[in-house]
Amino acid sequence: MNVHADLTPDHKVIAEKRGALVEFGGVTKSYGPVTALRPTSLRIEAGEFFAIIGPSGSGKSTLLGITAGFIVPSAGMIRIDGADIVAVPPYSRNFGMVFQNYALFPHMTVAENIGFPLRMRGVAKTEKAERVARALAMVRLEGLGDRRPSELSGGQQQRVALARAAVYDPLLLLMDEPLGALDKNLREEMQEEIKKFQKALGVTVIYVTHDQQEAAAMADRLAIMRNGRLEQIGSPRQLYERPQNIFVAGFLGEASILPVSKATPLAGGFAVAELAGGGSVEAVASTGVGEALCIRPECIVVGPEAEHTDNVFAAQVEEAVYANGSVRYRLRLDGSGHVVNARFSTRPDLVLMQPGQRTKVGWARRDGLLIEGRPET
Amino acid sequence: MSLAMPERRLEKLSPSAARHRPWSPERGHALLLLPPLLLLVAFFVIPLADVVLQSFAGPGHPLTQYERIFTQSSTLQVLLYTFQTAATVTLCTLVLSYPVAFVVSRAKGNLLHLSLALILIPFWTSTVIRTYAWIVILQRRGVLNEMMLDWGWIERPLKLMSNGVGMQIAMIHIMLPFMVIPLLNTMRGIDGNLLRAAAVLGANPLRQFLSVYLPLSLPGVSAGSILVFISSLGFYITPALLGGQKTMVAVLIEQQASRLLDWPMASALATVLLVVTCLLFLLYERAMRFAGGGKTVGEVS
Repeated sequence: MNVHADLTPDHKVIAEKRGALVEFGGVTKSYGPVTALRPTSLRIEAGEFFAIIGPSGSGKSTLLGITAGFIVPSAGMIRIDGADIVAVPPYSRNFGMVFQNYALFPHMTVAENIGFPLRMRGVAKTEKAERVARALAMVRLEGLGDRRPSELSGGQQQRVALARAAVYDPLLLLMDEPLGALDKNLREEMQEEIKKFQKALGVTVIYVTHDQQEAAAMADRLAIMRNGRLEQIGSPRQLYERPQNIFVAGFLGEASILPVSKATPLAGGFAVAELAGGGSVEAVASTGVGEALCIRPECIVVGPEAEHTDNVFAAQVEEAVYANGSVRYRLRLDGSGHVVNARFSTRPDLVLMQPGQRTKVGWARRDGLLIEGRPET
Repeated sequence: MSLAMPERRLEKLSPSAARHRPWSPERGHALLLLPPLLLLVAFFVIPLADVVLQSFAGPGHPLTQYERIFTQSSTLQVLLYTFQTAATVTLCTLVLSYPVAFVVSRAKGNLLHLSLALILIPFWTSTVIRTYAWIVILQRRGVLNEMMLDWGWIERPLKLMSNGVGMQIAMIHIMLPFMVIPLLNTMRGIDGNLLRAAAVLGANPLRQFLSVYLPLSLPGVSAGSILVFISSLGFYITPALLGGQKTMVAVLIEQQASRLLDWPMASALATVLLVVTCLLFLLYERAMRFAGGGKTVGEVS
């Protein structure tokens, strides 16, 4: 644990204005014999941007549905600033929500859509018009209030959905894959915009997505879910650099994951691990003594410089792929026959290695991580 | 039309291409229209035109029959009664169908198939048979009266036939599928997330329904209503068997044509019915185009 204590950033974002503190205590959902969500406890700080990622069927949408109030949990409690809201119907929870397909009302104009939550709250006409105008300005859609949602582009519809979810100053904003329907460039633009929006409002955000890059770029902290369970919670950097198991390691970015047959602890949080099939390495024993060794591709050194690293292997290049200023090598280690992936930036004068070429591969012991889970071979 | 445009332009550019124009699905499809077209012209369009022409024939000036229809209180009453009945039947059908369509639109799997079958099987059963079934149920010594007498709910049998009540009950029953199916069609297209969105935004179930669901289901409501209303206007079998003294216009037409042999009058009544039906349909089309801005709501979502 002490090894990566210095990596832990202070993830506690102090609420600037009015974010809610959200606490889940043993929240569970099962449909008959099928468990959609195992007992889940989680604390999301006021004003925090919290992302939940995972493959489909991992329970992330169930957790969001329970938070919004569409799904009644089988057990457990959800506390907003200390008050349990499980029995509160969705229309009294005062949360904002942005849906994947935006769920704009097709029979209302943009202004009517944004004004809808205010109408439901009995806000007076003049004040309503004023707040709708302000919300439209905030998402840079001035002058489009009289349009129908169908007359807007995908990005504009997205912004209307955002304005509608925020116009009544909710304590908590829920987002269910809000950028899933947009193309890549627009998605990146909207990521920044949502982030700015959240900063300005100071609202707590729970953001569900299956896109790990999107989550890592936006969130203060992430939770990775699988099979109805939280696998790991942490900052994007913590999760990437210190995954606890092979699922997290494989879900976030690329990783070389090698099977370990035996590991012996060393002083200072390290361990000597014997790789299945031969060879031994020194690595960080982060979660006790795990069954797998995880190395991120940018930590692997290829070529003569590899000699100066802690764990050196002779290897053969199996594949070299160049893409936009970086090169990715697939290398097979001599002896054990394991495959590792390395990635680094190139410069115009750099000569790339070809498949079949022999070379040296190595990595520092602080860059190898013993984690839980048995890798498939 | 838009499909044919480029083809026509091609013809102008190269006349030889037009002569050797290859077979295209569009041309083939047009040919397929020919047999039903011939059938319809021979057995529908020509007789209908004949009916319209006949309405202007007969003694006196050409509009004599129409003058009679709109001045005689007896025919006016029949027309009024027909419209009243059609309106009542439409309203009752709508009220009964809306919840059914709502539930079925949310059903999945076996429940969906079962409920669709329950809606469609009566739809495929002959109207005559269903009307006779209602006679068995509703007559003086019928199932319903006997049952209510046995239970002591009533002392004397109720008069349910020959006074419009039975006729309207039977018509509502027969018209139900015509209302449920368009409603179902529209309701299945309503995105469930819209109701969830309304809920999160602060709308309680009643307001979710009134401000989101109901407006979005209106295309189905109007389509079903116009279908039931128009069908009820010209309904013949059920009014003839269950109607009694007060008659619907279709029954009156039959009386004029086959009992009184007043063909010009029968034709004029039929023409009035036809014109009213066409006007209603045009009105409906207009209203739909206005409401959807040229699109139906389903397309937008």
